Amino acid sequence: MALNVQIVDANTMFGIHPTHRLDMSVECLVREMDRYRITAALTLSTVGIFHSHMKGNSITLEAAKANNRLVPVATVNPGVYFGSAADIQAIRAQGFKIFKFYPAEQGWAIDSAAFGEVLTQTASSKAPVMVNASRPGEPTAVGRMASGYPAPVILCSVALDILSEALAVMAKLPNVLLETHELHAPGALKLVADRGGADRIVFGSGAPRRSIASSLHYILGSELSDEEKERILGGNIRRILEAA
Amino acid sequence: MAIDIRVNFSEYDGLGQPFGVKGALEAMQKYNIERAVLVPRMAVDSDFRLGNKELFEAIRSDDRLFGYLAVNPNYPEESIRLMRSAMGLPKFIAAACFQGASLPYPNIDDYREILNAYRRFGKPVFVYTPHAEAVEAAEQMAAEFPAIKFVFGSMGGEEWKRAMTSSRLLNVLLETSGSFDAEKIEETVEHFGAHRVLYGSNLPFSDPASMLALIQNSDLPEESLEKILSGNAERLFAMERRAEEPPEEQGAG
Repeated sequence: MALNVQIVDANTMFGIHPTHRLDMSVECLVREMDRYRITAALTLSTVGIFHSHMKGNSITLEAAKANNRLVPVATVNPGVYFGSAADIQAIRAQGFKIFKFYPAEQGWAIDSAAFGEVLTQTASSKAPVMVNASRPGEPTAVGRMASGYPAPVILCSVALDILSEALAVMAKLPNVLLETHELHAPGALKLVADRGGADRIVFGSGAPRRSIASSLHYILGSELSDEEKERILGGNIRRILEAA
Repeated sequence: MAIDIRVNFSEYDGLGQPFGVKGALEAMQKYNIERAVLVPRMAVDSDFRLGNKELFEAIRSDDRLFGYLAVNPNYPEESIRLMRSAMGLPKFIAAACFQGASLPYPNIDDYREILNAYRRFGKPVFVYTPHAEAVEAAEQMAAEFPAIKFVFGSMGGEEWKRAMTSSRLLNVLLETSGSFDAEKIEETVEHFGAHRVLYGSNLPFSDPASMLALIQNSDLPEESLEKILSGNAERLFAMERRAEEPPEEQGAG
């Protein structure tokens, strides 16, 4: 690896995956981080995604307390969430700086009133949010919901087939950023940087399920300058977390 | 050095930028890819007559380029005629089945007639299998034609684990593009053996950097990596022999 940069992986998880038999333990995640010289990883428990966000958040917090290279990410499933802004504040107070949402995995719509309510509550504490927006129409829906949101909104899982949609949203909303783990098309990263600025791209791998090597080499081999790569690989997400 | 068996030949890339032969060769140089097998995208997406013809012009222009002949199950008789004129040419190293007629993906009912006629060429068939249903349908094709070697392109995509059970069919091989799950390459080799896995990138819709990194950072021994990255393709498609054959004089259409 030519760059001497502190890499932060903005998209990891740990635990048992319901449809994949794979070692996704915290130990495995940390091993992979060591292998690719990842300084820190934003992460959360699969229990929070696939079972209960409350239970999952407490498992995530425990893991992060045991290893300071893991940055805990909170999640809330709007389909089964009946809390108030005070509840979101309480989650924040536990040590979570950022929230992540999983519409496809949990079966709810981004433009649902329930998600709108959750965003109103996270907005009240100016929490940055990450949203998986992998299906056509989802980046647009995130854009509608995030218009006027007082903190960064990161689109995750955007692949080539909906990249133009994500870029259109980014053009309208300066607080919207893009996470990279589904980006593999040659030139796509440079296009996003040229259109939206390298400040609005954050490196994520989807590890341990997805290969860190694939995501990392895609960025390292891109046409971007070293300075842009440094921002994408860690600088941008560190700035967001520091401000949160 | 690698052989990429899944490079899409199209005028433009996924971002609307010019691609074509020039783009393919530039990417090959960047990633140290010695030879590539091109998929005629126009033939797959719309016009199989014109698409195959343009591919033929492209691959005859450079020793490093080979091609798939895309057949169309909606036109079995014409596809068979096309095979007769093209599959004898050394640069067309396999037929490619990308879509069905009665289903959106290749299946035995739509391809039986074409495959029957194809047997005589002794060349492999590339079948696009982007999901589990397509893998199941492709398995039926491979089971009914055991003398033909079938390469399952994209190996089930995100549902690649479904393709693992295809290993029981000894005439099935897998092409690696489609997803980047960390354990994919090792697990595939566990089921199929390294001799039945072939590197493909899906360029220009996917950067070779990503798939090469997945393969090269796997825990496989050097010997297995060599097979996946080039050796298997060389043998399966008899590339050395074909490169020595005299240049083609006929066209593909």
